[in-house]
Amino acid sequence: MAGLELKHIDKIYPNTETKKKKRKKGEPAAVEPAQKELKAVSDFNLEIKDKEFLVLVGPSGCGKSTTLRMIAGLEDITAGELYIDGQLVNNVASKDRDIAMVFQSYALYPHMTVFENMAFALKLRKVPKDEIKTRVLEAAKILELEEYLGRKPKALSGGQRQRVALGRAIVRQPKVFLMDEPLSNLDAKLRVAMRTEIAKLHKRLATTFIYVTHDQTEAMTMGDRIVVMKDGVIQQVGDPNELYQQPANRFVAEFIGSPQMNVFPAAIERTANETFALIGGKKITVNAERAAKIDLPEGKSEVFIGIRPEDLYVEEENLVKYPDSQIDANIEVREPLGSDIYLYMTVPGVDKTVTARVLPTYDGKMDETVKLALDTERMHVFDCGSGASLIRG
Amino acid sequence: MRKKGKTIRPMALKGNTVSFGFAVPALALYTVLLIVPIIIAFGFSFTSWNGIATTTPKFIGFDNYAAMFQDERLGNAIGVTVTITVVVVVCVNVFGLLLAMLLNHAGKMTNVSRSVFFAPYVLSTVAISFIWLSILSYTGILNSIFEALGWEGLIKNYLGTQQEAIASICVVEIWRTLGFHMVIYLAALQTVPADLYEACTVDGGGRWHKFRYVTLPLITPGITISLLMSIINELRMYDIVKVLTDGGPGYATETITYNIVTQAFGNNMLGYSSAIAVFLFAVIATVAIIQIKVTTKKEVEY
Amino acid sequence: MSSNEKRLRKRISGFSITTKVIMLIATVVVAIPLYIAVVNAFKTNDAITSAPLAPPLQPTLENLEYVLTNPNVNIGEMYFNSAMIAGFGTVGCILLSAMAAYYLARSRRKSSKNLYMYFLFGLMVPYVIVYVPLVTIFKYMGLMGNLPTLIFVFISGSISFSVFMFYGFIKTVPKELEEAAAIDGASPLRIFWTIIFPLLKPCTTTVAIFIGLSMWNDFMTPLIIGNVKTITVGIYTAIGPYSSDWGTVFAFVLCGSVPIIVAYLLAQKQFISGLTAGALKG
Repeated sequence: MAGLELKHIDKIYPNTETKKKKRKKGEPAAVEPAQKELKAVSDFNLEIKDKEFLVLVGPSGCGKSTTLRMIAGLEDITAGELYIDGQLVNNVASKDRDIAMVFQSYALYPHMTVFENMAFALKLRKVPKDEIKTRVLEAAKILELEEYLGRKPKALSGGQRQRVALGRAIVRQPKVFLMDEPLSNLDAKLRVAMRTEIAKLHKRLATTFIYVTHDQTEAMTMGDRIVVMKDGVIQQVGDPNELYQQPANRFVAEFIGSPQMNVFPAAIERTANETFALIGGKKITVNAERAAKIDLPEGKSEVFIGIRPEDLYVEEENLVKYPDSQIDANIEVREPLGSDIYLYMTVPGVDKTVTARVLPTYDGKMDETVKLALDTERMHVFDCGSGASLIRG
Repeated sequence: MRKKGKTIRPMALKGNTVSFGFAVPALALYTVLLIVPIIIAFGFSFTSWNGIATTTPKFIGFDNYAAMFQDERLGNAIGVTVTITVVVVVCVNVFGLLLAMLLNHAGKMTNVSRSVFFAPYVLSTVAISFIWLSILSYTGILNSIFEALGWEGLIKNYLGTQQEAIASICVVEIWRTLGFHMVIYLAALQTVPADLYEACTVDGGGRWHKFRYVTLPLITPGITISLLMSIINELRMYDIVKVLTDGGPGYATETITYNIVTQAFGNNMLGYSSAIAVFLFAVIATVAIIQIKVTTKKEVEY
Repeated sequence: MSSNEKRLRKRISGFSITTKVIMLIATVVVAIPLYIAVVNAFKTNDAITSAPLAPPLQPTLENLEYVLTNPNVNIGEMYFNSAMIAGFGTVGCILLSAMAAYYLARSRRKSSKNLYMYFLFGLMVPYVIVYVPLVTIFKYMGLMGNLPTLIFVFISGSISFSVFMFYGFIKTVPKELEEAAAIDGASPLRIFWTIIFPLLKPCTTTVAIFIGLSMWNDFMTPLIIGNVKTITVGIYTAIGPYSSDWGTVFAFVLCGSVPIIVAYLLAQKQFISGLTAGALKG
């Protein structure tokens, strides 16, 4: 049980074979193959609290797995300092870091039974046989693996193997749990179920969890805190709500949330007491409270506007609430999901499809041109160069 | 960056990476007992050493290599080796492929036939050479059969003349290695997807077309491997000659390897025999390099 | 067999009677020399000359008895020598090569690629080239005629092939297993022996069959280096090249080949795939 501290951590791969391997895994080499050195992680600073469930999330190649593997001691740390429980561990071998890791491929020893798989680490640590047995049985009970202890991994289903991998980590009673995309090899239904299982496990074990995933839903549903990464750089750290409500930049805004936030170019115009947004030539009024938070650089008006699908309205009863922020939109595709309807629309002057999530009772047809209202109170504004959010406070 | 990294890097991965120590025992043994002797052999090839410990090897430059061109006995050995290689390589590959194609369709018989064809390859060459010696020699079984059948005209020593002896050696070697090459072709044939044959039928192709346009192109990698392996193998021919003819009559059936051994340990011409060995090494290495080139290319394709 | 293949086979079945007959004849022809060796080992020389292809109607154990009991032949010593060579040679070579291949396959150093090439170099060497240097060295050091020497020589000669085979196989073992084991607290040596080596079993079997058989059957090396009486050298010297006492010859052949014949009958599939693996792996 311990906190972690990562200070100015860099990971640089020299241009060799290692890089090629990384590329296969989708690490950043794919982005800049001609580069001489490859910076997989740069200046990573983070303090991870004891018993926290921290999720590292980002697209493939963002350096999240590399970061985790550095914490695990499977990769060298090129520069920076890594502390586990206050102790500098840069030069400490994996086995002495008191961590456990669950791999994406589970990495179960194929020639050992489930019991032997779980007992292996304890055996190496010379834990007395009786205690090994108690601990393995206890873990098996938690994970409902008791019946399968005598089987080899080959004879297990994907979900069972996944649980054995978890069990192997549990019996260790480590300071830190590391999980590298542990659910990505499961089918959709099982993945959702295991999500809850792991969350429950975290609560029960009360240990630090560091969890890597490319799936933002997993990140949002499981993490106490989420680190969004891109190209080896932290984009934002925050709890799920913060990331959703106050994305630090366009990348986080578009990465978190499903369906994706609509982001399109627009211009902001300010008069003495009102702020307008120009979307494809159409002028709408921005909610005054929100407008006050927009920190537009001097003399700049071109920005990107971001609005989540659920903050767009087409229904009569909602349109009346936003009389000053309506634009015309043409329904291209209508996707009824039961609980909602997704509308994919084109807006004159905007070259991207705009997605709206509307009430299931909405009866607009395809090819119909309708009024689309923006809840500008929840509108995001991003710098058109850096992509950084221009909303303050 | 590099400097900065160095100060922090050292131990972290030491516990996780495989150390060079793993390779040391194999490396040492391999180097001392294979690589070093090869280097020594190169050295010997430039001397006129006779193997007597009290004398020191005398450096004679390329004289040994020059002498090889004048050496009739070596010329004969090269001729014999080339003849055996050509005959065996052609027969083994042609018949190996034919048999494999038949066997591919032989149903239940496939396994039995394969086991029988492969059996000679498993036995030691000494054992099978003695079996064939008992069949082919003048007092041997073949002649007993001819006698029993009354075919007196065929009775002779099938190891008696150079031509007959070489033919006999080829027969034995073909018999020994045919199964091996057949299995390689069988494996190659099984990689050809069956629907390609069906596609060929639909396109109006007959048996010949199927062979020419489907089978042959798709088993080319198998053919190449089989060819090169048999070439390398026959260029090294020794055991069968040693037992069957002992190089005779005279030195008529000596192969290159046989010649090297005789020169070295029979005539004590260690320097000269090393030069011939270096020559054989050059030839075989060339074939082997072609083989490596071809096989690594194949890997990339898949 | 896929259904496709079955369909194909059925369609060709018009052909298949001829095919079967041809195959049957070919198989019998190939088997005849083996048959001759087996049946005639149990016949007197007169019976062999008069009816070489007939089965042993009045079987005699005279030939076998001579081979097995004659103190001048001492087949026990031959067996012992061959078994030591094939046994220790195979085990030793596999251990050394698997470890070396593990390093070569997993090392991140650039030099390991070159080292791998260095190991493969041995595959293209005609072994005859090393006899003169080895004999010279061994004579000088008084190591000729020495069984351990011969075992080491055999190991060194098989390292290239074994490293080649193990290297390819280890490359297919997922690295995560080793990482998991490292985190579990295993040292590299431990990881190798408890995790990797057991997983190499299919490859180990193949290599064991290949090099074990080649060591058992090798004739030239024990003949030239040290003149150690292995089965092959022993039979060769016992019979002599010009013998025509065929009954004894067959008995020798049979006695010398029994272990191989038995092993082959028990595990034909493994033998065939093991001996062709080098070629098929390419």
